[in-house]
Amino acid sequence: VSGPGLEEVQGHRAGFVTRGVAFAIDFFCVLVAYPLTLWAIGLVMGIMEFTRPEYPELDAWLDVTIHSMILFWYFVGPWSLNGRTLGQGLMGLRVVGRARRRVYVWQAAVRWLVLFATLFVVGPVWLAFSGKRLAIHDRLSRTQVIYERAPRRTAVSVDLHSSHEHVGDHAAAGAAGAAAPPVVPGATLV
Amino acid sequence: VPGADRLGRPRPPEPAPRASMGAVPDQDPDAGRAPTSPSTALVAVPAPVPPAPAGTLAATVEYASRTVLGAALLLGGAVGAVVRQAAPGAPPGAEATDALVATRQVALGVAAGARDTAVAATTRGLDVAVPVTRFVVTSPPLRPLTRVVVRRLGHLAERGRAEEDQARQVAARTGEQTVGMAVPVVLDNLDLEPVVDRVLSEIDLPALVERVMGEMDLEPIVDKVIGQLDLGGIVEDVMGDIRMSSVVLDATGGLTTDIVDEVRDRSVAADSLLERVVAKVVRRKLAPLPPVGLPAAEPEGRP
Repeated sequence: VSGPGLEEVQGHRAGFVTRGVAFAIDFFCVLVAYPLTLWAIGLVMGIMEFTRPEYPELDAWLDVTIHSMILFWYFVGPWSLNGRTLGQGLMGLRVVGRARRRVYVWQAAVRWLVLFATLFVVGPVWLAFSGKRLAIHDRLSRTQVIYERAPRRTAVSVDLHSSHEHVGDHAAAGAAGAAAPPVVPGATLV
Repeated sequence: VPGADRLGRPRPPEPAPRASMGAVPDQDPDAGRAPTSPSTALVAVPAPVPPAPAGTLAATVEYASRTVLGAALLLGGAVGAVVRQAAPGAPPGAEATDALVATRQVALGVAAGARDTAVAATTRGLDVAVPVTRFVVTSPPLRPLTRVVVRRLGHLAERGRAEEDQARQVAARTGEQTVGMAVPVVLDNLDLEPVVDRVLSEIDLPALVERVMGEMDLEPIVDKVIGQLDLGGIVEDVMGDIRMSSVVLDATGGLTTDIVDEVRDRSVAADSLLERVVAKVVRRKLAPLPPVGLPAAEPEGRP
């Protein structure tokens, strides 16, 4: 297996394999998080009622609700806060907008919805055959997934602390400096 | 069984002669004779019979009858003593007359003989009845009836077990409820503050401390402890441990980072490989790496 190295691809869009591994890690975390959450609820209830903690037996609707909330916020929260879930952090990925800014909550929500709607149908196939490395949920939510390691170890870092405004100004500046080193809109050299 | 009587007990080596009142046997008059009290000098009592083998019907009956007899004798003695003490005019320490004691012992002897006879008859009867009953019960004509009876007995046993379980549960619940009710009541009614106040008021702690300190000479102890402590060595050990911990942490962190970077590197290579394979399959020209995020330079299009 040969190809560009890890340093070369920093800041570029991530491919199918890396994203798949990150998603597998995240899915495992969600699977573990659900029983852990219920166990923690049982522990708190036991402590409050001075009884032996037991794994709670929930009604079906409550079960589904808690499961859905964990599944939703595990992905949407990190995407909208710092752009990476646990699996994506481990694999050195980050979800950013097309302007390389932090994604809005609505973008993250749309991305999550489409991701799971197409997860077992066309989503993976679409990404594998995409020449631009954009999946359906990337296109519909106007996001992209890039390789990006921890800021202190990477040459290109996306400035996620700046506001969502003035994207056009940065984009224009980036377009004007096409021959310049990889200074990207909203990015800083570190 | 050779050497055993009809109850299965081993025969005594020399059968004691059963003498009637006043009759004197031809053999040695002291042979096999139990020690007798003066009141029973006229009664020839057979030698004590060794106990029957444990687990047999005879042994069980013998043990039970002797237990009851012993208890009755003890109780009777106690009641007699109380009556003698309480009865007006009765001389203190007066015993029952010899004739009464002799009569009682004769009655006990008769009862023991009757018991042995009854046990022997029962044993002999059971020896016959049990095989006959087993034969009859297991005979083909009676098998359906036997099955019904066994089934009924099984049901009854099952119900008995269930009742036992329920009774245990009820008892446990009752116990828990009793403790649950009793403990709060006790804790509510138990006021420890007066006790503590009383104890504290009785103790003069400053005086106690002053007295202890006055009687103890701590300086030699402190000097000895400090003299035996190697403070320099302890500080050096602690500092060494801290340095070692930081080295281990640095090494572990670096190793983890290297592993993660290796995995990422391989996954990036796998991404490129997959992209080349897909490009060959769909006969697409493999594009160079997309530019690093220039949104204006990225026209939207088909995947």
